[in-house]
Amino acid sequence: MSQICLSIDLERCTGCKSCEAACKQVNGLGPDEYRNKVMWLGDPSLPELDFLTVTCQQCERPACLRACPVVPKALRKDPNTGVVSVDESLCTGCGECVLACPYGAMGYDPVDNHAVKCDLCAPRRARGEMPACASVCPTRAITFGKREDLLNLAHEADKPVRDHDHFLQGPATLYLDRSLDAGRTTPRDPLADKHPPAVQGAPLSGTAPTSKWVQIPYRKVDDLQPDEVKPGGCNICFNGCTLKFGMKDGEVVQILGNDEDPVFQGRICAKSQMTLQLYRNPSRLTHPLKRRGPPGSETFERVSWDEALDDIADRLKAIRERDGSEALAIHMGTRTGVLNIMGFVPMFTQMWGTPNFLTTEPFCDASKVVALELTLGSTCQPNIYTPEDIGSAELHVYFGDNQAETRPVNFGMVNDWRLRRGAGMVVIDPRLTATASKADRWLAIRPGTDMALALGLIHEIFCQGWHDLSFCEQWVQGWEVWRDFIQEQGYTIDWASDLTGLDAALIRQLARDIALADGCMIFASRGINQHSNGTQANRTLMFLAAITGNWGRRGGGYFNVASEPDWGRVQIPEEHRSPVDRPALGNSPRQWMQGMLEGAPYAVRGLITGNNPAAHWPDRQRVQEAFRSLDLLVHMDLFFNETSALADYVLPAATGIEKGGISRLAEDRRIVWNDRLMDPPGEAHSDHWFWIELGKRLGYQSVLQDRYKDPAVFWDEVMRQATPSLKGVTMKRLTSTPYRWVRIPVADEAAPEPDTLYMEGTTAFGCESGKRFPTPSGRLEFWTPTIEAKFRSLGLSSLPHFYTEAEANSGHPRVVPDDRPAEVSPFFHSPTLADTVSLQASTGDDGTEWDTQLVTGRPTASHFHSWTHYFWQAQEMWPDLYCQIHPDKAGPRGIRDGEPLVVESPRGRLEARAWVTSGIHPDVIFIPIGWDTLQPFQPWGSVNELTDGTLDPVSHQTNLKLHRCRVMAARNS
Amino acid sequence: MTPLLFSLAKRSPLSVSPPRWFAAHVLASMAGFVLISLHVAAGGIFSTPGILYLLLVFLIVQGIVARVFLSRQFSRQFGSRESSFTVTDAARRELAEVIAAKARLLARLDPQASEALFSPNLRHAVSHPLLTLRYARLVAQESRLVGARRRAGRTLSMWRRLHILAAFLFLSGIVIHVVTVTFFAGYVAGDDSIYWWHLATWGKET
Repeated sequence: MSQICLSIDLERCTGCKSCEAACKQVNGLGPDEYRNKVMWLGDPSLPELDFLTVTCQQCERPACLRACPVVPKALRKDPNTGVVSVDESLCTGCGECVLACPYGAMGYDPVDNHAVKCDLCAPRRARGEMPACASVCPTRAITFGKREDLLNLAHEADKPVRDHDHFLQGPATLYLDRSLDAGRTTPRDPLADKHPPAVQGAPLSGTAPTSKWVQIPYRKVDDLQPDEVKPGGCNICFNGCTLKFGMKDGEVVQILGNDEDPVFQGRICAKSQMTLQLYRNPSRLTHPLKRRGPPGSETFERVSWDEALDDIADRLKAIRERDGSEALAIHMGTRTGVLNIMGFVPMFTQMWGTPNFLTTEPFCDASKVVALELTLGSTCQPNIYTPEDIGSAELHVYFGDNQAETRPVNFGMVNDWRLRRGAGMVVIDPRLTATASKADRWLAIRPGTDMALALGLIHEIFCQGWHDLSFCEQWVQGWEVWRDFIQEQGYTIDWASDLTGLDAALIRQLARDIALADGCMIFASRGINQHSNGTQANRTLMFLAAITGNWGRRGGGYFNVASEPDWGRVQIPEEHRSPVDRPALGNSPRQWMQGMLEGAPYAVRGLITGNNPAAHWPDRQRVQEAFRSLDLLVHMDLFFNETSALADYVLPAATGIEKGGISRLAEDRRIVWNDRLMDPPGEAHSDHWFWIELGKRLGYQSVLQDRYKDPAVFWDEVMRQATPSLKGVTMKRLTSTPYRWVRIPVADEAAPEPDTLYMEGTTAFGCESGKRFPTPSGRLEFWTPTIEAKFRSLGLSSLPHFYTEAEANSGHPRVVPDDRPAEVSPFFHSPTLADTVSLQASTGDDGTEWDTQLVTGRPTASHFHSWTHYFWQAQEMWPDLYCQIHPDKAGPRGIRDGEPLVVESPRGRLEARAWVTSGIHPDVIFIPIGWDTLQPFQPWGSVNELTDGTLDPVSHQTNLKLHRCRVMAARNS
Repeated sequence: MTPLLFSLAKRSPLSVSPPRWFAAHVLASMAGFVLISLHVAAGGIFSTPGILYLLLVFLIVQGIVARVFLSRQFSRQFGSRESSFTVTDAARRELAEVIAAKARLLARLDPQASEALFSPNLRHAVSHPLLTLRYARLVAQESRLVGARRRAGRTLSMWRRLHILAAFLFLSGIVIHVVTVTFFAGYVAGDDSIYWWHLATWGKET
């Protein structure tokens, strides 16, 4: 017998649960039916996080098989492969096998009452494919093969193979532990005494998915194989994973990774696969609805599209007549797709005449965009996910970037490469995230102090002379000015240590590691961006990368999600353009609130929006109050949510493969194309269709033409023409590859796809010869008179003065708006109002009323904002809104793991379930975004009940990472 | 008799489809419950045969509860034993001894069988009852040492055994009941007269 099995590398697994998603879809499993399951394991007293994928061990002496009372047995062991499988036609569902398995790896179908177990995807193996879990695993933690071969590979990689045969069953499945540190011969078992947090188990309450939710391919065992397979991309996040959609009778019945993609090679996370639960989801909006009762009453009636669009157009005209065209605001999130937010809506706004159009950028990465444009002159970041580029770094440092949970596939590749090469990894985050759990070092920084850490690192690097002098002199504009300023200000390691709460020796070591590494990738994301010092924190980290020579090289760089083309404005004929008399109210929807509620500086009376702003914009109560005050609120989305409840019209949207086009951009400059593969449900239409049809009623039909409803036509004829770096991304080119992506910038169809950008000796895209970086000087720009003047116009300096949120209560400076009227900001591409500000010292921590710092952010990898909460499987994986809290904070308050707690802030109150863990800074709690009180399974309030969202004065990025609050056990509140 | 046949059939190679036998045992039990209820309606529930009726009610209720409510608990056993993956040498030596004893016994009980995959069935119980019993005791000993069943909790681990025990008692009671009313009608009737339904009166005037 040649035993086949899985090998599961615990050092690589990030707990993303992609394997669970693959298993359920491929094997037609339903709720509570498992062949594998990923468990998050922790010990509240230890700052550690581990993951364990439980699946059948394919034992040599299978206890399950021996326990089966049926003759012939319903379980059998293949004599050739050693695989233990269940014959459901013989199983009476007595459950003896479930009770007998010591590993808890025997599944059970609670509906049809029979045993369920992993047979290593026998039908797939029969077709020459590997088990689904191994095929999708983003981290390559799961591999499949002959046990002997897998053992040899483990030994070659010097990976310890876990001995878990305590029951003498002879388990075949291999578990590879973290490689032993030199000199450590008897390490403590990392899994010992660790258990899943209560929040990962059964929900406190809520609705279980009924059969109407569990549709094909789930709970369907026959004839699952698709008739045809179409390539495309995932439309959820910036990872932009390439997919293969399995189609049958016009429906998508399978979503797996595209194994022909040279980069991803079939890796995908759980979310991509769970979009199987999106397209025929019973909660989808299928018809236009018109509100009949007062806002929030949820009294709606079904109307036709014509009736809805005619009335919307009439009411828009009335608003324009009374308050001017600028009184219409439009907010469209990335869910609606790139073609929508970069194409159709900008065209509409130019014809309508409103500057008040925003995407989700002000909440996600506006500070990074402004910082990149100032420093690099482009949002096209240099590095890409290949073994030769990011994979060749000697050190990976993550600042406020939980890549393992937010972009699991990219992190999986990074971690795989770095483990193969022995490269280091350091994570700086108040939380022990999945990313931090994989790192060599986790630095539990205080929220809002990353800029201070970066300044301390820079100070030390200059003091020690570790900077790359040659690179600085040649390619960094104003580096001496920054160096002198940082030294004058005394931003030393000790100063940084005081602020960040990190040990000075650790900071010193990090400075040395970054400076001396042969290639250091500095990753940053929302933890840096979502602060009122977001722009300056980004610039400071960029400077750290620059002085260490980590710009424009392979294996070294500054990377902040996501890399984007330098978008050109989609042009419309001059005669169709409406004048815009007043500048935009700001670069954040938060600045629309005053316009809605007070009519100042001018009134906003109408809003057309997607997504779920009523729950997911900060200061939720004020947002809802503002929405109630509007003359017209149009909400176009996939599901009825808290925003729909306040809307005058709720319009059903199509998404992803229901509409085609480019849904999301991959974070390393790849444009991923989706064909339209199926019809949307009911009368749902694409966002594109909506703007074209609304445009017809406003006389825009000669510009927003009917034929642009075909996204391929719109892309080829309009979108790619507007942006030079996209011109070569023709439909012909996009559809010529089996993986449907093209890496930019490409000037024409024949231009080769670029590798790492801004390499020495190269000229930046679209620049005159010799300009290595696309700035006016051709160098990375940190201080120039022009940049300084821009900052001065707002009352700031372009030099890196440290300031942070008032809520830090650190006594350090914070931004305070002046009384002067807002002026047009120099930082945006179109006229936009901005407050002038000054830096003032904040109060120190009085340690009394609001004694806790609240950090918000993305939940675990199976959720993404609102829409995954409508997927029964995502809810099964992580059902309840949770609050991570340190035992030192939980204990004195009587808060126990899994029990409800209450969080109060000056803005509001929220209940959540406690997740007691030492993997969080003791002063901090963490609550994820995405829940909403109208969701179907486990509705909870939004964390934005508690947030305020102070703005970064430069980019208008919203602070979502540091708010003051207090927390108590629900039973005591 | 169908539940008994189900129990025997699934333990012998005669059953082509044990799930159908399972369904038959459920249907037959329900039908039996209705008929016996009619039968019992003529008598008193608080009587010696009334205990049998209560046992039947228990079997029916327990079966329904197990199928309707315990199914989900069974499915949630998946991934509930993370401690099994941690390093411990707790019972390996004892287990090895039990396994070796099983292998030795199996050489006499069923020489062709592999200990790794073997569990005794009806054929073994009929042909080698004592060996089968000894083997079953070793199996129980191994199960105790592994502890998987215990970790599932008392409700899950005991419900089926309780069901079988109750069914056995019920069946035994039925046999006793039939024998008694058939052959000891006078005893059954007690001070009352012997009615037409007592088999002993058939063919006689009552």
